[in-house]
Amino acid sequence: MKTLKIIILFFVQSALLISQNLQINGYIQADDRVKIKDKTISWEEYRLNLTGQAELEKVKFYSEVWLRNFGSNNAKKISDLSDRNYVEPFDIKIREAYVDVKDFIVDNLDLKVGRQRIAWGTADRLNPTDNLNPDDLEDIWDYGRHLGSNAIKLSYYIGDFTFTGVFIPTFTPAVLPRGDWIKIFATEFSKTEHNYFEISDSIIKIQNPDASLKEASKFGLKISKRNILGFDVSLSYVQGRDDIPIISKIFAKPSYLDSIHLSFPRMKIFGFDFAGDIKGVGIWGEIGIFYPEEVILETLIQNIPIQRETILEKKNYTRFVFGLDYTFKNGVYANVQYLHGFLHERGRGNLKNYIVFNLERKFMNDKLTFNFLSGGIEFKRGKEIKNNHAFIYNPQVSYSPIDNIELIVGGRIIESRGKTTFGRLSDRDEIYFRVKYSF
Amino acid sequence: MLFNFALFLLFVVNISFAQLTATEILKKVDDVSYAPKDQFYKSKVTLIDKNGRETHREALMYQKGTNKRLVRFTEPADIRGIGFLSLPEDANYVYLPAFKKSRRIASHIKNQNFAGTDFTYEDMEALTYSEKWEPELLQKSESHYVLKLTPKKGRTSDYSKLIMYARTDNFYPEKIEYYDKANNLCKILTRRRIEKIGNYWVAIETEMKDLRKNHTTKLILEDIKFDTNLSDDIFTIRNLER
Repeated sequence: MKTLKIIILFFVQSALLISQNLQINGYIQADDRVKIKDKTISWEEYRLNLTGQAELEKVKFYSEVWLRNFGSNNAKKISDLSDRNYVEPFDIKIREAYVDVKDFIVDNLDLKVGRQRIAWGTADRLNPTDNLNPDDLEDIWDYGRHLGSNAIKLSYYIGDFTFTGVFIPTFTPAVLPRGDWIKIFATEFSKTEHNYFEISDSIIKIQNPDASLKEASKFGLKISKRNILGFDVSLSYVQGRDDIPIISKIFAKPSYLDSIHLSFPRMKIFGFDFAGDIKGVGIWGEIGIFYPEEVILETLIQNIPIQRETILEKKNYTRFVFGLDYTFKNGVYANVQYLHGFLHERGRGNLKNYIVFNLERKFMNDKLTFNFLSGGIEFKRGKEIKNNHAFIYNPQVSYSPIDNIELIVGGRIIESRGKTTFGRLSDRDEIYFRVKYSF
Repeated sequence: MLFNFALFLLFVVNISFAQLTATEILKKVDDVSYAPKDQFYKSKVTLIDKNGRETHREALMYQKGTNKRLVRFTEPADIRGIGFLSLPEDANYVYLPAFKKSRRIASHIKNQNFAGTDFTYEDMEALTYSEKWEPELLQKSESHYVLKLTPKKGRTSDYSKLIMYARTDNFYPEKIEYYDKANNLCKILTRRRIEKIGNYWVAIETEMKDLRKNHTTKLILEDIKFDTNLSDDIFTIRNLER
C-alpha cells in the first residue's frame, strides 16, 4: 500500500513538474504537546506539506501531499527495532490530487475530477452540512478536518446561482482518534451503555459495505444563491453512508465475548446554510436534517439471536450551528458559535449542546495574536449545566517574527462535572507548541 | 490673435473651474480616479514599522468599473493565495486557501487592516468617493482643491471625515487625510509619481501612513494595464475560489 502511495505521489508530482506553469508551495510544521499532569508527550507530529499547482488556460492541476513523521519510537519487540516504521513512524498522505476544467463542454460548467476536498457549509469548522468527505478525527482538537475523496464534481454557474453535483463512487470511513483517544468517544460510537472499546480491539470487526456503486457510493446536490436580502444561502442534499461506524452485532459464546461488528448506516441529509451580516455583526448558520436507516443491535450467542435492540431509530434528527462574529473598536475580535450535535453524535436524544468561543486581539501590526478567551462549553441540557458540563479553556499566543514563520504556544485546560464527552479528557490538560514555516 | 484666443479660453476654463461646486469637484475626482473601464496591475507592497524594519508583499489587483475589485496576494508564502473580492451592494468575500472555501465578510471587519497593511477593508472597498462621501469645499489654492468629506446619509464609515487634496490641473486626489471618530488625524495617504499612462492618470507610488502606530505601507504599481476588457467572470466567487 505504501509503495502504491509513493508511486502515485511520484506520478502526480512528476506530471506537475513537466508543466511549465508549475508552482510548488507548502509548509513545514512541528506540533508537540505535553500533558501537564505527568509531563509526558501526548502528541508529536512533524509535517511537510507540499502543494503543486499548474494552470493551462482553462485546466488546473492541483495536488497536496503530507509527509509526516508521526509520533516517536513505537517499538515493543526486538524485531520492531529493525523496522524503521516502528523506530521512526512515517506516513504519506495524499490530501488532494485533481484536475479542474473550467467551461467544460459548455460555458459556466466546471468539472473537477480526482481526490478533492468538497467543503460545504458556512460555519467555522463545525459544519453539519459538510458531509461528503469522510471526517478526519485523527486529531480531535483539529475538529472539522476531513479527508479528500476520489470524486467527480460538476458546478454550473448562472447569475448569482451555483448548482453543484458531486459523485463519490467508493466508500471511505472516517479516521477515528489516534491510540487510546478513541475510548474517549467510545460511547458515542457504540451508542450503548457499555464501552465496548475498553475491550481488546482485536475482536471488534468493521463491516465495510460492498464495493458496488449501490452500496458504497455517495452523492450530493447543492443550490447556492448569492445575496438574498444581503445573505448568501444554500440548500443541499447528500445521500450515502455515515462514515462513523455504529455497533450492529455482538457474537458471544456462553463464557466469553467472541466479536463485535460495526457497520456504517445509510443516511440522507438535507442541508441549509446562510451567511451575511446584520448591523455590522457577521451571522451564519447551518442546519443538517439527518434521515438515518434503522440500526438494530443484534446479540447472538452461539449464532442464536437472543436480543434485538434498536440502536439508531429511523427518525430524523437535526444538527445545527449558529454563529456570529464582531470586531470591537478596541480591535478585539469575537467569534461565538452555538452547536447542537457534535460531528460524531447521532440519533434523537443523543445530541449535546456546545458553545464554542474565541476572543482575540492582534498586536505589533498583526505579528502577535493573543487568543485570550478561547475554548468551549459542552452541556446536554441548559437546566443541568451546573452539574453536567465540560469547560475547555484554550488560550493561545501566536507570533510571526518575520514573514512565513509562525510560532504558537497554547494550552488546554479542561474542567468538568458529570458525564460529558470532553470531560473524559479532563486529565489530559496540555501545553502545545507549534512552529510553521511556509515556502 | 491665436495667443489672445488661447488666453481667453484659459480664462473661461479657470472661471468655470472656480465656479465648480464641491459635488462637481468630487465627481471629477471620481472621473479621473475611476476613468478606465477596467484596470489590472501588480502591486509591490512594503510595510515599514516604527523601527524602520521592512517586510514585503506582492498582490495582483483587478478592477472593473467602480464597484468590482479582486485582490489576490502572491507573496509572501504564508499569505499566498489569499483573495479579496468586493462586489456591488456591499458584498465582500475573502478566500483563505487553507479552508478551501470563501467566506462572506461582515461590515464589522471594515475597520480592520487588510493583510497587515495600513489599508483597512473599508479602504479596499470598490466604491466611488461620490457614492460614499458628502463633499464640502474648504479651500482652493493654485495647486489643489481641498475638500472635506463626511459620510453620506445611510453610509457607515470608521472615519469621521476625510480631507482630500485634489490637483487643480487634473483633479487627481494627491493626498487624503483620514480622521477617526474622535476627530483625530489618524492616517495620511499620499500619492506620488502621478503619471499619464495612455488616456489615464495613475499614481505609480502610493503611501499610507498610520500615525497612531507609526507604521507605513508603500505601494508601487507595475505592469499597469487599462481597458483590456476584463471579463466579468474574474469578479466572481467561482474565480475567487479557483
